Amino acid sequence: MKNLGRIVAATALALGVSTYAARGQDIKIGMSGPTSGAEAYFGNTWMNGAEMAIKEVNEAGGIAGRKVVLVRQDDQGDPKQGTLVAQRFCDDDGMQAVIAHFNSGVTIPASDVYNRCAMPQVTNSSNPKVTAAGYKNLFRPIANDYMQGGIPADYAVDVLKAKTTAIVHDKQAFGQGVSDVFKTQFEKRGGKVTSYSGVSATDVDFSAVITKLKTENPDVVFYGGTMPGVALFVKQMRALGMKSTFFAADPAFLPDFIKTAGESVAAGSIVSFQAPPYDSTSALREFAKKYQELWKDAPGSYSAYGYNEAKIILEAMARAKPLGRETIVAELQKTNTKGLTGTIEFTDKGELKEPAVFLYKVADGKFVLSFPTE
Amino acid sequence: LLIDVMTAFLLQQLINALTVGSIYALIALGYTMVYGVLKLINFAHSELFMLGAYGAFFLMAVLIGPVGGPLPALIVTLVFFATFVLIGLLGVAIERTAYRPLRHSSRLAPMLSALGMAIILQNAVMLLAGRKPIVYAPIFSANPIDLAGAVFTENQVMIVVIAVCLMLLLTWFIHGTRLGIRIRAVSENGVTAQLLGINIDRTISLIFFIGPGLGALAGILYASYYGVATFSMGFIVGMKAFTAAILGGIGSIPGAMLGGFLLGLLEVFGAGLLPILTSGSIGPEYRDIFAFAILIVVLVFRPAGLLGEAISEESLVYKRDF
Repeated sequence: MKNLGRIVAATALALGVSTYAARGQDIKIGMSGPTSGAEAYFGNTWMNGAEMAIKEVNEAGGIAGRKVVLVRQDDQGDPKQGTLVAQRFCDDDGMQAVIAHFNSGVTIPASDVYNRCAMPQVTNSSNPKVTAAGYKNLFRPIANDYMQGGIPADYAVDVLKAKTTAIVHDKQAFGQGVSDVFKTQFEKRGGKVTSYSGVSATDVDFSAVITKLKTENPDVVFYGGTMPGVALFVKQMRALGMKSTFFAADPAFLPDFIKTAGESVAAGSIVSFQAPPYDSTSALREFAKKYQELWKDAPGSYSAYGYNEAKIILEAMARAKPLGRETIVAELQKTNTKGLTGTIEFTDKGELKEPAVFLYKVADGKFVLSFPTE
Repeated sequence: LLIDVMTAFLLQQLINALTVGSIYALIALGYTMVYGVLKLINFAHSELFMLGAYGAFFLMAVLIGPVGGPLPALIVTLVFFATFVLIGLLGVAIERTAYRPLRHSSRLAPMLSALGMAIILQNAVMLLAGRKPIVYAPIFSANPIDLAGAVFTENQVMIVVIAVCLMLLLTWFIHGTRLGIRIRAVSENGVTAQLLGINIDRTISLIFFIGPGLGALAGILYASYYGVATFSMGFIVGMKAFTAAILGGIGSIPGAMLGGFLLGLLEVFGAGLLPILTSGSIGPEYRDIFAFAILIVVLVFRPAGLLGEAISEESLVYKRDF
C-alpha cells in the first residue's frame, strides 16, 4: 500500500509538473535529495538554500524576463527512486538543469540518466567516484572526499609547524584514499612520514600499532577511517601516553566522536568537514540571517552549498545564448564566481579548482572552526 | 637509552597482548567446553558475548541510571553476577530449544541450528537496541600507570585479574567439585557416564550455563575497555576466540586459556613487532594473516591443537553416540 501511495503521489506530481510546463514560459530547475526519512533534515535545508538563490534572481527580473522555478523531488536517498526522478527530469522538456543528488549512492547511477539527455547536472555528493565516469555535463562545486587529505596536511606544516607524521588508515576506499592524499601533500611540503599503516575497519584494539607509533614520536597522527574506529584510536593513543596532534576526516565530525573518545581525550583533535559554520564569515552571516527570515529556522550544514549550486546554474543560464541544456553545460564549465564558501571554478573533470575544506578543533566538547579564519 | 626504549616497548606490547588475550581466553572457554561434550561448535556463543555487554549496559541503566565513570565494587560485582546468571540462563534455554531436539540427528543439523540462533540473536539486538554503537562508560578507572616507560590503565589490570580469577575458579570447579567430576565424565564418555548414574541432560545444561556466562562477562570487560558496544561486535571477536580454542586444542579447558593468550601475543607481535623487524615492508595490516599462518603451522604439526587430546577412531565413536 505504501508503494501504491508513492506511485499515486509521483504520478500526481508528474502530471502537475507537465501541466505547469505547458502553461508558461517559466524556466525549470530540478532538485532532488532525501526530503523524507532519516536524512530529511539535510535534504530540506539544502533545497531551501537553493530556493533562496532562485528567489533573488526572480526578484531581480528572472532570466531574460522569464521566471525560474525550483522543482523539488524526494529521492529518499534511494538509488532506485533517484534514477526514476532523473528519468522524469530528463523527459520534461521545460527542465533546463538539475541540482542532484544529495547522496553519492544516488548520484552515481542517476548521472548515467542525466548524461543520456545532456542535462546540466550539479551535484552535492562528495564521493570521488561520482566524477569517475568523466561526464562533461556533471559538475561538483563541493570538495570531494579525498580533498580532505591535502588541506589538513598544509595546516599541519604551516600552522602547527609539524615535521613528522604517522598515518593510519582503515584499508577502505575512503580511508586509504584520503590518507594517500595526506601523505603525498605532507611529503611535498617537506615533511617526513614516519610510518604508513593499515588496520582493519572493524578493529577496536589499536594498542599494538599505537605502541609502535609511540616509538616514532611523530608530531601529528592522521587517521583515515570511520566511526567508531577513529574515536577508539585517539582514545587509545592518549591512554598509551601519545601526545601527537590527532587529525581525522569528516566521519569524525559527529557528537558521537567526542562522546566515544571522551571530552578531554578528544580535545585538541583536528577534524575536517566540507561545510563552514555560519558565523565564520560576513557573507555566511548575512546568508544565515536571510535564511532565518525566510524559513524561520537556522540553516542546515549544506544550505550554503544548495545556494552555491543554484547560483552557478542561474549565472550560466543568464550567459547561455540561446537558452538550452547544451549551452548551459558549456557556460557551467566557464564558471568563475564567488560562492559563499570560496571561489567556484571547475577543472575539466567538473571538480572544484580550489576546494573548500574546513578544519575544526575539538574544544570543550564542541567543534570550533580553526581554519580558515577570516 | 636504546635498551630502555626497547624494554618499555616490549613490556608495553606484552601488556597489550595480555589484555586482549585474557578476553579471548574467557570466550574460548565457552566454545571448548561445549565442543568437548557435544562435538558441537556453538556459533551462537559469540552473540552471547555481545549480549553480555548489552545486558550489563541496560542492567546498569536500570539500576543506577546513566553511568559516568568507575563504579563502586559492590555494584560492579552485582552487575557481573546478574549478567552471568542472565546470559547463562539464556544459554541453557538456547540449548533446550535449538540443540537438544537435534542431538541425535546428524552432526550438521545442530551446527546449522547454532548458526540460525546466532543470526536471530544478532538481528534481535539490532532491531531492539538499534544499529548505532552504544557508548560504554568505563566500569573501572582508566588512570594510567607508568611502569618502566610502559603505560597501562587500571582498567587493563582489572581485566587481566578478573579473567585469570575466573579461569582459576573454573579450573577448581572442574577438578575440585562433584559437579565438575560429572562434566569431566560426560566429556570423556557420555554413555558410560550415564550408566554410572550421571544425568547427561543436566550436565549439558550446566555447561551451557557456565560457558555463555563466562562469555557474557568477557563481553562486559571488552565493551568497557574499548568504550563501545555494537550489535555486530560478537562476530569478529567470536571468530578470534574460536581460533584460540582450536589453537589450544578444542575440547581442552587449559588449551582454551593457553590459546587465548597465545593468539593475543601473536596478534600483537604481528601488528607491533613484525613491521619493525621487516623495517616496514610487512605492515600491521598483515596482523591477522600472520596469526592465522601460525595457526595453520601449529595444526599441521599438531592437528588436535597444542593441548588437545589426539583424535582416535574410538573417541569419535563414543561422542557421536549420544
